[in-house]
This record gives sequence, structure tokens and C-alpha cells, in this order.
Amino acid sequence: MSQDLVRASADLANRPDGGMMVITTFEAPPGMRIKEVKGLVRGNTIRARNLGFDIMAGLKSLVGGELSEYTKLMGESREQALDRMRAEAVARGANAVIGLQITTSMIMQGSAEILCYGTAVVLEPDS
Amino acid sequence: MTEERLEMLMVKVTDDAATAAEREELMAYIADKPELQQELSMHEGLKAVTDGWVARLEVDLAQDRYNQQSLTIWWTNLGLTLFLGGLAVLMGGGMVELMADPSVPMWLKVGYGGMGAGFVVLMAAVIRWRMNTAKHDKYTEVQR
Repeated sequence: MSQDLVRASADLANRPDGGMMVITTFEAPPGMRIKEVKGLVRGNTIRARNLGFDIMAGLKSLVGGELSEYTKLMGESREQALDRMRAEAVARGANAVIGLQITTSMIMQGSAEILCYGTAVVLEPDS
Repeated sequence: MTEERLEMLMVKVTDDAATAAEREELMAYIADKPELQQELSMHEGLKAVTDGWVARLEVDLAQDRYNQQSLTIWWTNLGLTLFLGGLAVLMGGGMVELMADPSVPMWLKVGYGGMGAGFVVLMAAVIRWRMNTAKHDKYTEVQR
């Protein structure tokens, strides 16, 4: 992440609204309209757990059930990718990301890659 | 009946929070309105589905309780320590045996020695990297 995005992320967290940003899979949320399009924003990450958790998950796969070690891994990756996307949107002066998509792919065994992307826009109330 | 009252009764009946009188009032009102009956039925169907989700999430609570038990933590840590300790002894011991064996050619000793030392140095580098970045990694707090 570039220094600009780190700064944008910090600015986002320190805003009076607590960093609230509309992120939606809709084109535009009900009651709002797109004032300005800021372009494509995306965030991605690849994370892994440690060897101990991989061993535990491997053993658990023998008996079945949820592999909570990897559930946590996916959750961490999802949140980090979303934060990076959000920071990029803030850096572009957007207040919302619409048409959100989240995808995953396999880079390395035992790791989770999450890519999320959407269109950064400035929304305003639909009068 | 006003629209606000109808909405309130629909919500209360759907949530099974209505009194007998309120339920009766709503049923009497929608008795000859098939579109409202259909809407109520749709809400009740949706609630049945979402209630099912909540019930299924009990497995998460059970998982959290299990993970927080000190026996679970102790047991897992003991197993991992034994496993990883054994692995380290096997790898380290094997390397020492290899180096001490006079029948092993020098090029093999140099090659394996370099590989082993490189592994230790790289391992130290990634542990140092992790210790430096872990304190800023807030994502480890995410559970699911």
C-alpha cells in the first residue's frame, strides 16, 4: 500500500462520521444518485496462517467439520482487501463504492487471496 | 386502518410479538385482501428462513466456547510443541550425523550445510518480519 493510501486510511478512521462509507453491490443505494464517478478502485491481499494452524487444519480435515483456522484466514483477508479498496476510494475523494465484487483465487496452498473491486463514486441525496 | 398501524401489526404478527387482539384485528382486516395475505405470508416465510440462520449460528458459539477452554489451548500447544520439537531434532540431528560421517563426500556436506544454514537465516528473517508487522496487523482480530 502506498503512503497516500495509508494516509487516506488514517484520515478515513479519524473522520467525524467514524469512517462510514457506503459500499454496496447496488448501482446506487435507494434515495441516492451518482454525482460523480471517480473510477475503479480495488484492494487485494494474500494471507496465510502459521504452520501450527496448517497442521491443525490438516488433521481436522480427516474428521470433517468446519476448518475454523481457514475460516478466520478468509475473514482476515476479506477485511484487509475491503479496507484497501476503501482507502483507495477515499484517496480519490469518493464517498461510496458501488457495484462491489469480491473474487478469490488460488496462488499458494494454505493461503487465501481475496480481490475486491468496485466503482468509486460521489453520491448525493436524490432530490 | 391507517397505513402505519397496518405496517406495525404486520411486523408484530410476523415477529410473533402481537397480542391475540392485535392478531385478530389484522386477520379481520386482511380477510378480504388477498394481496395483503400474500405479503404477510411472504414475511412469515422470510422470517422462517432467517430464524434458521440464527439457529445454525449456534455452532459458532460452541466453537468459540471450545476454543477458549484452557484444556483446548494446553492440549493443542502440547501437541504442536512435541511435533515441531521432534521435527527440529530430526532435522538438526540428521544434519549433525551427516556432517560427522567421514564417508560422506565434502561437496555433499558443503551443499547440505549451506542449505541448512540458509534455511535458519531465512527463517530468522521471516520471524523478524512477522514480529515487526504483527503489532500493526489488526486483521488478526477478525474471527470469521
